[in-house]
Amino acid sequence: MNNRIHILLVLPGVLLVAALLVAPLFFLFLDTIPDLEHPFSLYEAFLEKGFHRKIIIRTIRVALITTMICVILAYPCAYFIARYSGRFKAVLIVIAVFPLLLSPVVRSFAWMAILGKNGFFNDLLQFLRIIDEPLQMLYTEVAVIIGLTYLFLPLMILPLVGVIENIEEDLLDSAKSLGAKDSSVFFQIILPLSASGLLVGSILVFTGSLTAYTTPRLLGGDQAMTLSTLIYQNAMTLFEWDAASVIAIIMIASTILVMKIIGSLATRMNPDV
Amino acid sequence: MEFLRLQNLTAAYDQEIVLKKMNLEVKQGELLSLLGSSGCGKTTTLRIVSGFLKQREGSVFLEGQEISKTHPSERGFGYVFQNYALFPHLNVEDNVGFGLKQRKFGREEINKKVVEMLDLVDLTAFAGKRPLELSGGQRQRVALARALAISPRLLLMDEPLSNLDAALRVKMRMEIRRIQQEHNITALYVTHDQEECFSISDRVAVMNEGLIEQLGTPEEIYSSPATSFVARFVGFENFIHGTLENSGKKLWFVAVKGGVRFPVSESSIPEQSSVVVALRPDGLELRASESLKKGIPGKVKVATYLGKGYRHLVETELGELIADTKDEMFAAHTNVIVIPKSESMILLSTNND
Amino acid sequence: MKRSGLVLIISVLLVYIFLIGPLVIIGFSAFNESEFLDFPPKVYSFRWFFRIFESDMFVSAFQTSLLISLLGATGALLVGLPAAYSLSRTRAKWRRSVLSLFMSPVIVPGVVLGFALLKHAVIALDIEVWTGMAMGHMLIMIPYVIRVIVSSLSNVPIEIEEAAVSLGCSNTRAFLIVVLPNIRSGILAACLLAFITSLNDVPVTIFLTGPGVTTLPIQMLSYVEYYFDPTVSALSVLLMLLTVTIMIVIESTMGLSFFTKK
Repeated sequence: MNNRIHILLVLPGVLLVAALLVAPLFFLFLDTIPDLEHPFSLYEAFLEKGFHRKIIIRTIRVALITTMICVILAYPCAYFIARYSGRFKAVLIVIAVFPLLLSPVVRSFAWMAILGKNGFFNDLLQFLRIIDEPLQMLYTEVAVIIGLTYLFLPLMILPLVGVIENIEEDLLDSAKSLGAKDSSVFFQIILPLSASGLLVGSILVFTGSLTAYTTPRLLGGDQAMTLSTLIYQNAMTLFEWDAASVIAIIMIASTILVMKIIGSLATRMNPDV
Repeated sequence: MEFLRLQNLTAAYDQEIVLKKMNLEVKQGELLSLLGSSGCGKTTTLRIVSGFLKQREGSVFLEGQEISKTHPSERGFGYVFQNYALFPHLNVEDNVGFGLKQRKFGREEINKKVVEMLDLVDLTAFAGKRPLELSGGQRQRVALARALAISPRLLLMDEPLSNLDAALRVKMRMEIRRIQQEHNITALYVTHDQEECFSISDRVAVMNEGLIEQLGTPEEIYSSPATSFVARFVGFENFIHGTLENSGKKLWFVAVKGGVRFPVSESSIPEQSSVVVALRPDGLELRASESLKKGIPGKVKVATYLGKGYRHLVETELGELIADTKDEMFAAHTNVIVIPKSESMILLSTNND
Repeated sequence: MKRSGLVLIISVLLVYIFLIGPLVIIGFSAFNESEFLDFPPKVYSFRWFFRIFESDMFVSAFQTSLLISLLGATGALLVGLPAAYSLSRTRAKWRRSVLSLFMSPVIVPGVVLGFALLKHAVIALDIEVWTGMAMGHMLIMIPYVIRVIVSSLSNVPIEIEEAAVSLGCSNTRAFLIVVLPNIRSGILAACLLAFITSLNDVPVTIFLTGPGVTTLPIQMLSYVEYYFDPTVSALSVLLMLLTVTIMIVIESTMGLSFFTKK
């Protein structure tokens, strides 16, 4: 099999992706540069509005908080699954994977049902007589954070499981035999060795939260918009295509930036990642 | 006429040359081995002959016909891979009969041949099994049977035994040789194991860095290696540099270091030229330094037990020498005399280094 | 150790309740008689399931979804299988870049993909809605197809093809009769994964829909924003059943450990 045939085999795919992804994105980028004298004029115009800046900051904030919550929730879970060797291990993994395969509409809707005025939480709180009137939980930033956490938690658990499974039991045993307490074992052995999985998960959760659409739309509505819902509003409702293009480029640039930063952190900590 | 002829074969991977104008002739019915360590070009040669790799220069002639343009599927060569490459989704029978099926033989004919082949390699009971269910040795035999089923003009084997354990390797190599000789099949065999190679080959080509250093029968190579590289391969561990001198009626070897000299038997290398004397560990005798025999003085650094004798690392003016003894052991730090046995010496000229 | 062991188990339990709880809740509400999503239901009924089939809305949206996903999957497979084969066999220097190119639809945010496609493909080239959607879905399925098939092919070393060739097959025939049968389950898993991704997609699709052409998730999305009732719960239950079925198929062919590998 020589090189020519190999090139021929990948060519259709390459052309397809080039035509449907690379070219449109390239032209989109060009759209945001109106002329060479004022290349950033559209970006400036966009960022001038306080409303827009607020949304950018909110999007980043939401993504950061979601990622941190996911890390805290995922670690014990991943550790447990990785160390567990019983019959139910496969079941545990399946249950963690299952939500990933469900539509984000379904997953966000579930939280609408829980957080709504007539929803589960309000009913429960009223039932327990903690409150008299239903609380407004939907269409807030908190709701979006909860929804995104729900959406991306499995994506943090799975890479961590993989990485923790690779930590040999012997390492932990030798640490304990040298006198380390459980918390020391965690912070000094498990954490550094699972760092690569942590970073992979963080990239997935952070960039996912940064760019998610369905969840912020359903749980945040117009009161708690993020960049994704903003881009849709500008593109399809307001027909402000310049603004939409600018948002698109900002989103893709920040995604790539985050991946590069976290990615190089990962390779520095563990060169065989 | 030679059966297979490789002429001026040159091959490269990217910018690295792995075969340098290699020439080789294989006679009909012989088993010729390509012996060398990894990277020497032996597998590359095999892949060029089979057609899986294109040579940069040179030709391959089979019975006088150039076959480089022939597609590997039409050369009719049997290839036995190092990892066997059995088809995982087919059972043993279908694996062995695969080549015949491609040649559109009838079902009855295929069955007959498959039964014959399985019987040949003693796997008749395993006909319905899948490769996954077989041990390494069994898989190897299926690979062999599969290659033989098509009555190949040439059998190409790429380190077929290297993934088996030692005892199985010895048994299997006998089997391969037996089948090859019984059916008079011409075979090109690639290996890095010198013992395996010598025990089954009619001729051996010792390869190093893309070149054949020596071509000959196993006996020739073992007793008269042509270069230091080949000598090292067949067990020579001591190499002493010096020159040849004629003095009195005898030919003397004069070492570079220390002026040590000892007599050598006749040699075809002209006198005054620089040579290397090569000796196997058992080609050096050890005596206590008090003995009056003439030889090279030295001190034992380490002595280890080999089962069949003792091996000594001796520090001398000529450098470190390795000498074996049968019964007597000289402990570390003992002063000894090292005596080279002239009948065990090999003389190599230095431009072969 | 015992105490921290207990803490561990409790925290894991809470996380799993967090993961499954919401699905259980809407599961229950799907069978609830009343319109409000109260829990636990007082009266059980199937009325919301019937509602799904009463109007044409969801049924036709599902049909559209199915068709688009099938079209996209076919295209992704046609393009992806040869590419995956080439990527797994070649040692050329362009291998890494091409692989990254094929994985890029996963990295680019869905909304950005959808918008870019809309602006510079569909509108710029005046492409029909159906074609545009099929193309968009093909694009998002390609990474899955390629990743899974490349992984599958790593279990079928090239020597097996060479063995077949040495025994008399042409290169193509060798691929068809010794490689393909051994990656069948990989191809199936790839298709199913791609299918689910396409079926669930919102951010790309939402820019590519048109009048009369909408997919199930998009339809559910607009419905939920206007009529907040358990019809969507019933739909969710049906979708969950579909997903479970697909997972069972994937497990029996490739095994779910695929998800924990990087």
